[in-house]
Amino acid sequence: MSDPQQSRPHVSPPLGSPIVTVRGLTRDYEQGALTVHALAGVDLEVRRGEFTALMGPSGSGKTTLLNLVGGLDEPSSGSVQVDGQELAGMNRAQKSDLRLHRIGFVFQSYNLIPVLSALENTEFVLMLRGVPAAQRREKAMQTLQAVGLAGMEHRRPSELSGGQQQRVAVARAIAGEPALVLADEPTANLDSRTGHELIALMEKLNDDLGLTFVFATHDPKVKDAAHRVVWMEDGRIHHEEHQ
Amino acid sequence: MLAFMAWRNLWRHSRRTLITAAAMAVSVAFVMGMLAYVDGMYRKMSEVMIDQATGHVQVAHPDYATRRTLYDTVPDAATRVAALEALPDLRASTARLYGFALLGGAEETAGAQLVGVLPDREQALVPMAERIVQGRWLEGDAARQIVLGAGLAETLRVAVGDQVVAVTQASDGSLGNELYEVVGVVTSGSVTLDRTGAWLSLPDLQALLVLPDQVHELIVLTDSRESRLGDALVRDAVERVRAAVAPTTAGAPEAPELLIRPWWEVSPTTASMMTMSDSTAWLMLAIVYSVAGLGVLNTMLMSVFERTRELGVMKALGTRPAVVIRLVLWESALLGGLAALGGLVLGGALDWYLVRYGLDLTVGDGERLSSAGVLFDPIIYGVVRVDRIVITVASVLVVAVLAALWPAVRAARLRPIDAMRQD
Repeated sequence: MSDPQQSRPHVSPPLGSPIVTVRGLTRDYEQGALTVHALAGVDLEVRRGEFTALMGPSGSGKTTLLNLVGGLDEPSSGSVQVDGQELAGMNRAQKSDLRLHRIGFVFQSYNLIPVLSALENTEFVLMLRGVPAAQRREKAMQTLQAVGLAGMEHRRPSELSGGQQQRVAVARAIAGEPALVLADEPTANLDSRTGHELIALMEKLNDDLGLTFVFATHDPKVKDAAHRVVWMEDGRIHHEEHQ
Repeated sequence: MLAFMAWRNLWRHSRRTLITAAAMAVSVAFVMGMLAYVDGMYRKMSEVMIDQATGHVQVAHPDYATRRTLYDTVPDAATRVAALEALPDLRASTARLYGFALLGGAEETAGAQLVGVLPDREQALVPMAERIVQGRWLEGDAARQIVLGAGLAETLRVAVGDQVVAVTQASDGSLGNELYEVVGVVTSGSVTLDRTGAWLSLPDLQALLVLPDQVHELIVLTDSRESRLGDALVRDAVERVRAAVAPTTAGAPEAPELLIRPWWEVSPTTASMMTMSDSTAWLMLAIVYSVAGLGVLNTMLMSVFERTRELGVMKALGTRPAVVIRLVLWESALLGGLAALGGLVLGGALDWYLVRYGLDLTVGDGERLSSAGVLFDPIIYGVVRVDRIVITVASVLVVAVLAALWPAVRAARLRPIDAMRQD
């Protein structure tokens, strides 16, 4: 299959240009006879280099929105553009490629591949992209160093603490230098101190590399660190705060 | 990296992996042993049927195949035997003449099938000397000598050193009779021949039957030891034999066009028995491997099911469905590889045993096994063929990969968002 993203050299647009554009996005779920409106019409624009937190109570639609932006779920209506590409009409393989080349994910429960070491987990996305072994190993080593895990490269996830595992997850998300990192409750399973450290790490990556982060979170620490907080309620954007 | 991942995934449930691999290895070993045994049977059949009876290539009168009368002979036998002898790359060639006669000892008479042979050449084809139970095989010009089947000697109540008289109607209608000295008693490997067979030199039988320079069969053995139907070596030999005997035919206008056939046409019964055994062996392979395949299918389905969430994460990270399929197939192929390795060791041991000690098929009170009137040595020794082993081992890999296709496709079709919700 041809891969327009791979064949086209990726030239990063300047900081501040829109990287996510969401228009009239809805997502309905059928639950028996009931239809649940998880998203009830969301318009949102995220600009390059932003550190954005989606906040709101459980069921407000934060994770649903994140999943739709990441191409993991199909909207009922509306459109999503990521890095200038419209997701509607893309087939599974094209969405896979979009995620592989443009988006990094950090999940609540780390979700590392248990049979791979920290280094191999970090390399994984690069391997999928077809980066030569030596090159991807070097890049993964650098990234692990950047997230403070130098010396732990060969440990398996089971040999790492929760905070260390989440750092590996961050390393995996950013090793491929994606245009966007989507993080779903990344601090929820971490103690307060480790959560602080992780947020500080992501802030640093945002500052140093200009990486765009979008969080779905309940964590006030993330809220405090975010440039922009988008409050959600009942599947809609309630209001925004800029800090 | 995918292969490494697959290998490590295999050992997440090491006991399950080992049990599945062991079950498959036993299947491989069983199939290897069975094929070695079947091929051993082939070799045995080949030794008895081909070496002793039909040869790889047989030259005969065109009507001999259907009528088998005294008169359906191949003329110019000596010239043709010499022509065959001159052919390169043949194991042996000989000529035989058959006839029926009444044999009489001092006390008893019995009907006998006489086989006129060239003693040394016959010995090169069939180890008759080793089958002699009393006396010796025909030697030198063997004039007026006769070797009797053990059963016939018993019926006639004669032993080595005794004389027997043969009485028969010769080809010219005259009454042929001659006196021979019994020089040996043989168990030939054929039930019929042991009861009725008597071997004497070709010139003696030609004289008795008044068939000068004529034989019923010219027998050629090639270097082929495979006894495979349609063997290229035998096909080639048929053509070479045709070329070698044809000029003589042309030189004698009254001679009939000769019938030159490979053994599987001479003895279609043997051919069909071998085909049936072959089909049975492959059918067994298919059944055994189908069961093994179900084991792999179960293991891989379990493996994929347990890792639903992980596979969902991989897909969320951008792993294409084809890569997921490759990962699962790698796992199964490695499982198949383990099984193949184990199977080779187990099957190798089994094959070694079969080759070294054989399988004793002695029935009842030590009687030999007989099939289609031919006595078999009751111990069947295995024959190991590299091509069979390659097919057996390659098949287990193919089965492992095929059995994992469905689990692999299932894994590839997972929606990441659904898969990641699984615990």
